[in-house]
Amino acid sequence: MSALAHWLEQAGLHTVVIGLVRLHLEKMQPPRALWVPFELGRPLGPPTDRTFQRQVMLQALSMIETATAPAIEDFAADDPRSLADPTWLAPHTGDAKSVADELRQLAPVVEAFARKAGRSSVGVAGLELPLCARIIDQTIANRKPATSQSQHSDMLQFRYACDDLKMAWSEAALASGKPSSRQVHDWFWLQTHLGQSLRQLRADWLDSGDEKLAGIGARFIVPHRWRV
Amino acid sequence: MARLTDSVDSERQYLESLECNAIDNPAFNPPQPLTDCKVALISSAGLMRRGDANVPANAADYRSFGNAIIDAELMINHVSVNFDRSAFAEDVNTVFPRELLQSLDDDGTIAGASDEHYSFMGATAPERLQPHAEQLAAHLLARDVNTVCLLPV
Repeated sequence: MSALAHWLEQAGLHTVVIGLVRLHLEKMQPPRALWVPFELGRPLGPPTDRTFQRQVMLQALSMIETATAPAIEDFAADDPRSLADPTWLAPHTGDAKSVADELRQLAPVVEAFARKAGRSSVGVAGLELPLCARIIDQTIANRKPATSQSQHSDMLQFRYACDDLKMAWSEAALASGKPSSRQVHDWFWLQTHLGQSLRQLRADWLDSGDEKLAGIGARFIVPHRWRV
Repeated sequence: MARLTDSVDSERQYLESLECNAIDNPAFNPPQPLTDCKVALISSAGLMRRGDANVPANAADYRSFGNAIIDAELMINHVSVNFDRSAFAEDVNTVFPRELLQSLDDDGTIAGASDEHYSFMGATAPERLQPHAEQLAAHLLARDVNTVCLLPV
């Protein structure tokens, strides 16, 4: 994004980057940057908090009229949603024996979230969630990506099915209360059948002796924090 | 968690190791009042519209999202697993604040919000983005957009 800012500025546009990694801003020196101390994935900070988000956007845009040379400013406040919600209760997933089983348990909560939010971010696979669950169950059982049932390669279908299921589980976690992302992801990776199975799959692929599976396992299944 | 000191070791080492090559001939355009700024947003989230083709992992081009495309149609198609997507699930504006920007247009804080906003695949090597960035710049200037807010994830 900082490189893009340079090229857009060279073309005559005014640019400002709202950046999450200060080190990268310092190295790239975009024309104007506001560093925000928020988690990767949320440059505006707390979801649904328009007052806070407006402060972020206004400080960033204000640099267009105040900065007279390349500049990095820091946003002073932390994301209030980074604090755990002590009243939040994780969705109950019981003792699911498969991803498909866990999906059946969570489906009512996923649907409740969609009703509350008026939308869902699930859908990159272009497949129904039960089929995504079967694809992941087969992948876990066979320790290799299930045969594609879409226009995508086996591996790409696996990735998109993972993305959709992880999003659905996140939406289930958001159906009630205002959990921090750490609460959501700790629950997902440490307590759910899907999360624990994906962590095991990563370990299996790293030990598989298959260079491609090991490469995918190393980088594209589990986030850094939950890899151990 | 985007403070490197809050990251786990492997994440911090990865972020510190990413190449950030300096850009030749950096430009800096003189300040202008916000009330003269017509603003577009660019996200690195690899956004896609529901039903459209997926964004390839190494895509260098960008996607345009006009006002007729509502937030409920947007999905993240970024290849990385290392950023939080639950905020986007709860509120698209956390990543792609079109509604927020429109409110700044409505109350006169800025001259206007662009009627199109854009997304790249943030994982793509920056040098491959340059021709598309230059094409986008020409497209924006032709639409009287003079300001861009870039939002990495």
